[in-house]
Amino acid sequence: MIFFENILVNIGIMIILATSLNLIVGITGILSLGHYAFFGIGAYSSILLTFYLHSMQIINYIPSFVLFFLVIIFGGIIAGFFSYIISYPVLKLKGDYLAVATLGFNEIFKSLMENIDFFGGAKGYSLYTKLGNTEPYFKTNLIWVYIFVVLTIFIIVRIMKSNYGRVLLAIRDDEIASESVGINIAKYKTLSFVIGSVMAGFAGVLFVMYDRFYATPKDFSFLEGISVLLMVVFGGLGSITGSVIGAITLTLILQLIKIIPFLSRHQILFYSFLLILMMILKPQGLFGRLDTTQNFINKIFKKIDRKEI
Amino acid sequence: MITVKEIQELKKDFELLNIENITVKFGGLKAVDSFSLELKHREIVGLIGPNGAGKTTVFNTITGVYKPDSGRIYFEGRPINHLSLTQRNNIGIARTFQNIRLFSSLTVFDNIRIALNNKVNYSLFQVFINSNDFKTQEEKINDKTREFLEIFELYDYKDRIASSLPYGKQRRLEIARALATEPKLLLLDEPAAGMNEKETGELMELIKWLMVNFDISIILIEHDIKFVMNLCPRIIVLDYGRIIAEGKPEEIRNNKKVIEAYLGE
Ligand SMILES: Nc1ncnc2c1ncn2[C@@H]1O[C@H](COP(=O)(O)OP(=O)(O)O)[C@@H](O)[C@H]1O
Ligand SMILES: [Mg+2]
Repeated sequence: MIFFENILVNIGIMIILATSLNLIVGITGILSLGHYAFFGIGAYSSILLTFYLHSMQIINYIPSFVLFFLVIIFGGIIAGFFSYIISYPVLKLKGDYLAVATLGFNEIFKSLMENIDFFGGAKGYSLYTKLGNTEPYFKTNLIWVYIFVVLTIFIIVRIMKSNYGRVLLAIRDDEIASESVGINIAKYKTLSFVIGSVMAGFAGVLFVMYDRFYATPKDFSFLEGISVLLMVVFGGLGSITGSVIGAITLTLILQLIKIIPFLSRHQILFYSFLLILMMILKPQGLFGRLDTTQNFINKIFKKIDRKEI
Repeated sequence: MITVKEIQELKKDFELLNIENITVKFGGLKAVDSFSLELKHREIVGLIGPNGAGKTTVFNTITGVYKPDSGRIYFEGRPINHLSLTQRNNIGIARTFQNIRLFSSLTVFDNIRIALNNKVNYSLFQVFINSNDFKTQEEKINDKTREFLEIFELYDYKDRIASSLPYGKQRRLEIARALATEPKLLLLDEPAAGMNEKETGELMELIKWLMVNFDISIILIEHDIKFVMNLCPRIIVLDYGRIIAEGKPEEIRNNKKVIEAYLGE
């Protein structure tokens, strides 16, 4: 039973990560490779806050589910705060430059966590140990995970039904044309980036507060995050349904390869193989619209050539 | 929002658009060389010249894609050199592109709705709770979009993906999209390029109709000389970034310099 619960929790967290990354990468066209940093920021902030809540004995006055809700929101807000800070320099960059900058941000986050003792250094921060080998008063369960899965999907679907969603797609298709019809692209890109990062922060809290109560820098490296990018590309850039299906399928496959020693030792090799296979068989992703996503992939790797205007 | 500095720099006797001696350089090349233009309210001006003369660069400088190396641009008397593309559209300058730039993966309907983006002022929160205000504003946007598509005879194509439209229709859609932002000044960069004779004729009628029914001024770049002469009482000829002639169509037709420039092409 616990095995299945584990998998379902995993799937839920991956759905939140994949759909929120899709909002940034697939819908807005910001090729961010730093999504896992915000996942990590959510995780670290929540275990730190939880530790302080325990040491303040606040748990005696406020019901634990209220506290946990606040902790999740806190994780999201801190992730959103940092994404807002870095959005200013980073979102000015285009295509591949932006990809490199966000990847760099992810690695900076990781090495800061590794090198600052307050966060536990390379071996990580164990809330469990800090609390004297006991579990915290509140923790993630299936219900919490799926409340936030539903919330994440709901928010993105609503955005896509409004002017906000249309504008994001316009920016993805053509930034110059978007500006020429009066769209403030910096504002909308920031909005998309921050909302997506807040959601990754939620996922981070849910992840670390499930049964680990323990965060290590390695969990939130760019390499770990590749699997989420894979889910988004697999499902089709821009397709929410695709990201959900992508998250479910790939989480199950990854669970499976963990059982096979050869594959689990060479996970990166396996990812690359999967990605190449998909690019050959179905470059537009499972749910990507046929003639659009591929153009878009081409475009994303190409800087805007002002000479063509 | 207009700043104090801008108020100090306001032009006294101004037209809709005043361009004063702009020069745009790319490396050693002067793509536009001391170009000046006064454009009146509701006027239509033709901008012609051989390939590479700098016509598109003039448009890119008016809209803010490039900043001029020297010279000033005023819109309704207000200096706009420092404004971005977005800001210039917001104050009433819209354009089409020589190489069509539609939102190519989106529908015809959405291409127009996106151009109306500044007409909505609901918050994200109102979107989430599906508030009545959100719904009425969306209704309005949809009605307006329908209206535009009908004017431009594109309504039957509303659910088509923009890039799947025939070329002539894409050009029409791009003009519709520019007009949907309710500009005072419309810049058309070779709108008839790639159109067949019938489409070109229809486009000419459409532009005439726009001049009567919309409160706008137009600058028209076009290679089809007949097209320009038919539409524009005033024509400016560029060659190597410089104005070599300016005047009525019949004056331009018989101008020696113009004939030479075109023969040299
Ligand atoms: N972004 C750019 N970088 C370098 N050269 C450019 C750029 N844009 C235009 N040019 C050059 O400026 C000159 C004028 O180009 P353009 O304005 O496109 O001419 P036209 O529209 O009249 O055909 C050409 O020689 C062109 O190669
Ligand atoms: Mg040109």
